[in-house]
Amino acid sequence: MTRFTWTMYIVLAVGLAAGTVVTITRWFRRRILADYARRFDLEVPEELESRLRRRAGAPFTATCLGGLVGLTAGAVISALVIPPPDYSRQVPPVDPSTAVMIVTALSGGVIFQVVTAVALALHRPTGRRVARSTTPRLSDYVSGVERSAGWIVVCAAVILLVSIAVAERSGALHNPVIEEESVFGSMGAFFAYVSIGGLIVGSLLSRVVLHGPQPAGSSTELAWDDALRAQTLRGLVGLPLTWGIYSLLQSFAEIMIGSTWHPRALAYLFVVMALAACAATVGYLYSTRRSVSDRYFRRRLWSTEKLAAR
Amino acid sequence: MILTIDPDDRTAPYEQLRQQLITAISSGELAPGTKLPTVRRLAADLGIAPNTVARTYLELDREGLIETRGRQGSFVARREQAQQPDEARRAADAYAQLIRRLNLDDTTALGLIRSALGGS
Repeated sequence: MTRFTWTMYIVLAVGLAAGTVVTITRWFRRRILADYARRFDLEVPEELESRLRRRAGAPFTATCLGGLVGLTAGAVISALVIPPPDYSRQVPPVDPSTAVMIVTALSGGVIFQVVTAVALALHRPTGRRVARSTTPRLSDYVSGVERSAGWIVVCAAVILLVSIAVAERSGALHNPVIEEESVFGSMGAFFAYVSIGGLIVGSLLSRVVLHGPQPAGSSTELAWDDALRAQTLRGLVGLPLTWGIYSLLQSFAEIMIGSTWHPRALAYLFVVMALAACAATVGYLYSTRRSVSDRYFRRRLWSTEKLAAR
Repeated sequence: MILTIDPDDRTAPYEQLRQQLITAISSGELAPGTKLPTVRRLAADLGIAPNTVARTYLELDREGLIETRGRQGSFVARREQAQQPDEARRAADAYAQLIRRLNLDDTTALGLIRSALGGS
């Protein structure tokens, strides 16, 4: 591994370890629960408070711990198996060690988070039990905008990569830097692969979460289960979106760096792309703003049921 | 609609579940074509034996209130014309029990039915 990779590992490992410790504290979990209660507009019954605190806070701990475990596993694999990158080339390729650590850290965080969320949901209350007479679907927890945004962005990233490769082959790219290396080995391509993996893994893990039972002793407890499920599912759906955006930005940057196009045309193109990206981001953030997306599950699943609200 | 099982209730869990589903289907809260939870899922959520849920679904299927389509699951049945006589028969049984409880004679009972039918 290179010095940069080791430094990155140490910084991330310290951050994730600190995150694990902080998220275990009662103070943190109380704050998270209070924040959730306000955002989801749900009361916290006294008899459920300690269990809800654990269910609200544990996924954060699991994400940090899982990320740390994955990161360390990635570092071990990189140190033992992966050769250092070849920096004699004009454009350094993606450092495989960095790529492996990013992927293993992400994977570890997501897997630990989902396993924790599912395990904590398996509590068996005694006494009275309630259940829904229908089985909720992903569309009851995550809005259509959020569900489709990830797919759209990932497809756009893949289409952009293929377009760059075709343009490079036909000589239309005017970028001698890109012609030196394979488009599909670039950093933009790496982020696109991670986002595709995120789509696939996210879909599989979403099914695991959705098919899990929802044992509850009251409507309020069932609503809390729905709220925490919605958080987990929205996180799974949002992950490929984030990496797809990184891929698009990285690929555009790689096109522009070293390009021999007319500078004014390039500048105009950059401004148009930036404005389009801003408009798309503002539109997405507005349609998924917290007040709307946090209570989306309530509108879908609890609009006709009486529920104790704050 | 939220289903509830109360272990302190004298009514057996099977009967509690069955009555709630009948009420929900009759009132239209569970619309025709609505997919019900799987046996395992509903049993796990309510903390009752899967056989209890399976028995409930079987009874409701026999009564024509739900349709079980093999691996696809169980759905609220679409109310065909042929099912109406069963409903009418059940309503008549309930009315007869009420008449006996009120100690009314058959003539009075039939007269009430005729005036109700004539008025609607």
